[in-house]
Amino acid sequence: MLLDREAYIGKLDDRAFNLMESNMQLAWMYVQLTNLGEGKDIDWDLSLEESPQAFADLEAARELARRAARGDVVPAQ
Amino acid sequence: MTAAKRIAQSMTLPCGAVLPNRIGKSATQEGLATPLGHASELNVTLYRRWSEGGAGLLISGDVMVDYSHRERPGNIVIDDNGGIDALRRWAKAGQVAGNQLWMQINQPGRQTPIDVQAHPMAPSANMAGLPPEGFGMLRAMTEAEILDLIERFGRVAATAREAGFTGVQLHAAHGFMASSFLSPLCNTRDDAWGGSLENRARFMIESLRAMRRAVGNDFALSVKMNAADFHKGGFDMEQSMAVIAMLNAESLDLLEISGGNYDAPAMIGAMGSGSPLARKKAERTLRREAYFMEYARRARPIATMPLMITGGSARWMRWRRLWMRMQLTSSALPGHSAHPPIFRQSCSMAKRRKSR
Ligand SMILES: Cc1cc2nc3c(=O)[nH]c(=O)nc-3n(C[C@H](O)[C@H](O)[C@H](O)COP(=O)(O)O)c2cc1C
Repeated sequence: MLLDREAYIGKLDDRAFNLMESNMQLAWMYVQLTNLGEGKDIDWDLSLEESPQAFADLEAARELARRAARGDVVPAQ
Repeated sequence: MTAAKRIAQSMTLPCGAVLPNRIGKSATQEGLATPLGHASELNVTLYRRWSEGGAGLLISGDVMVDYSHRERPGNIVIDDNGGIDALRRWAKAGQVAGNQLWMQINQPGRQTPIDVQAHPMAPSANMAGLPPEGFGMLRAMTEAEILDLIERFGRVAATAREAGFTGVQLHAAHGFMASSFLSPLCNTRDDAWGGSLENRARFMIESLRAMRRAVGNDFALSVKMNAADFHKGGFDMEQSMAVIAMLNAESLDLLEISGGNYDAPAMIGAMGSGSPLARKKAERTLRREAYFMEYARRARPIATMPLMITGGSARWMRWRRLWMRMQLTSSALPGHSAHPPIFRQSCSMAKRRKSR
């Protein structure tokens, strides 16, 4: 999964573009790992550009669940 | 022997464990743990699928040794928080096809996100080489904290064995704790844990020794280390080669080679400011193929333990007409076996030179 470099020429230099693309790839992977863990298939319609938001939504929902359970957590330090 | 045949061959590791073939899935943080940091049913389902995919070696996402230092919410944590039964279910599911399943163990150190820890422990209180946002002001560890962390690695390795994993891997790559100890940029200590390369490698080596003591000699022990950090003035290839020579004296079953950190994520194909590749207008796709292969070629005559390279192997394998093999491993994605690059499989290029 790669972004179209041409679309970002003049907007982002190589390094910024690579970092953005890598972050999107990670977000895409994390969403798909959740799909697989839930017994679903890969969502091939999810684009790289949409992935950061999809991942943020997923993490926000998880964080809510975590907060709800936080009273039970006993951190070591 | 053709590469395809070689890759399908089993391999006996120095500890006696047998990899049924030489394809490995490198560690992939799942982010699927329960709020208490236990393995969830999602972890179980995912690893069953991965095991059925046919890789000889699966390495888990990094498991945390300290609840207050997680690499992200959603990590599995082993820190006196219970959850051994869940770990057992996870370990069992991840081996249904008879593969090896190793637990990767990590403390993220300076790269602990700010929403997890406002003042992450690190070798030094030095923010160099961290992305500008998302990380709290670092705090230099005391020696007691260093020793405590080394012990934690040992304890968690013992738990991995107890839970049914067949090996453990120390995460000493990607800018996390052990990796940052290696870096002269991140580690500016002037005690026995900083300064010379030998001192900077001490944390990783002592952690590996603690893990070996905890799991015994008949259990796989691995380390994932950076070829380079791709930071100017950071841990570079020459230092990395010298550390491999040090690791030869340890009882290691596999050295996995990766590179980079959050600021220069070479491990997923993006290079940092210190990389000649970042400055060259090289073809973008090309540099994303098996990007640590050149390093592995240099490391091979030095390292006495088996080597695994990680990074961009999927397409490299396609080039080498190993498509069939990849289909075998990517069959974990039903209906999409023609997309191995998505699966980010890694290829174990291991070859033992001599046993320890
Ligand atoms: C979603 C995701 C999660 C990852 N989690 C880990 C991890 O927990 N530990 C680790 O050492 N590397 C981790 N990595 C890096 C991979 O193990 C590997 O080094 C990198 O993806 C390059 O290999 P590939 O091109 O075969 O994917 C992760 C990569 C991705 C994409």
